Amino acid sequence: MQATERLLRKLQLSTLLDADDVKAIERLPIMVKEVAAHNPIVREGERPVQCCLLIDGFLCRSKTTDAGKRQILSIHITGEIPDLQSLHLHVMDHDLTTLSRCTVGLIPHDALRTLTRERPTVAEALWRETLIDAAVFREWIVNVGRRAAVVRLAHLLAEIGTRLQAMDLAPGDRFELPMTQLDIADALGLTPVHVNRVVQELRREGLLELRKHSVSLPDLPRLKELGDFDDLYLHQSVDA
Amino acid sequence: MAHYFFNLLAPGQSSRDEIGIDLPNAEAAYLQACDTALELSFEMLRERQDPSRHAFEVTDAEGQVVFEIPFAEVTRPKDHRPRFTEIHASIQRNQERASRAVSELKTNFSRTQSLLGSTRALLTRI
Repeated sequence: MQATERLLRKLQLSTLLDADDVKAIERLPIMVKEVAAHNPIVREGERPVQCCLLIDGFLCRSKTTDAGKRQILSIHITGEIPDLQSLHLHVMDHDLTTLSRCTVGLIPHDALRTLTRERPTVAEALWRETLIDAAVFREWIVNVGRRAAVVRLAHLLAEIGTRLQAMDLAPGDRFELPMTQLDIADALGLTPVHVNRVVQELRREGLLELRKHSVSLPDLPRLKELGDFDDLYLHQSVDA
Repeated sequence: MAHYFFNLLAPGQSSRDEIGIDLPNAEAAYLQACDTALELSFEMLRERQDPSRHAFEVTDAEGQVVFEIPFAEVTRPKDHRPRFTEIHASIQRNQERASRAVSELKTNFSRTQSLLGSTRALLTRI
């Protein structure tokens, strides 16, 4: 599989690209590498000279308080460039870390800058990606700040399921979710023991089935309803 | 790492933890129980429920109770809260009580056995 295949798929969820745009993206110089689970891609305070395209696996962005408490800010799936902002904001203000073993493609900033200057629609598409990013952050503030524990987990699972579905990565609403109890706890602002309780609640409700690292959502419509989930903020459609 | 389960005890209804989590030791389990008791208390109070008679029963991988912590203890102001050393002491007391019970049982068993032996000896003499 070509490194840019998933990126193109992701961008085309929200932006109409023409053949020349696609060709220009396919010509990007990308250095592909494998990174083990729970390893940093880029840390707060660093000045990256490249962006990280996630080709396979799961990444998360997080910040850690002085007291050592980590808050996961977002989860990233195949096809996304979670540190796209580093192209214009030169110092990282948060960490980007692998949740699972990942295949990533490193794209030099210079190449991306040239691409955005030459192809305005691609520039628009990338800009739109960072705006969708911000929309997801807004939703997560509401989730962590205002929703009850079981609703938070339902929302998180509905979001990941919906995003994977859009990329055809969750056939039958079943997908790999290589997050530990601690990862989920840090994404929801709960303790791992509390997460276990709400996981068991969703299981009893018939909304969640867990196998080793694999998640299945038997009744996604009902999960969305419980999770107060409306996919509007994901902007997964091309407006005519 | 050891596996711990956090069963929730509530008046009239209790719920077992079927998943559990891996933690380095009993102290980490105690801190987890405290943090979670606090989170659950907040959620319950928001829904106008009373958490004061709830408790966590923490068991090890074999299902043996390591300690129990009432929510009321966690929500109490800081200086009235038992320190971990006290919890530790109570864990130790529990263990000592268990090993005393085992040794008492052993003594009783051997006493019964010797009694049985002398009864048999008496019987053969008849």
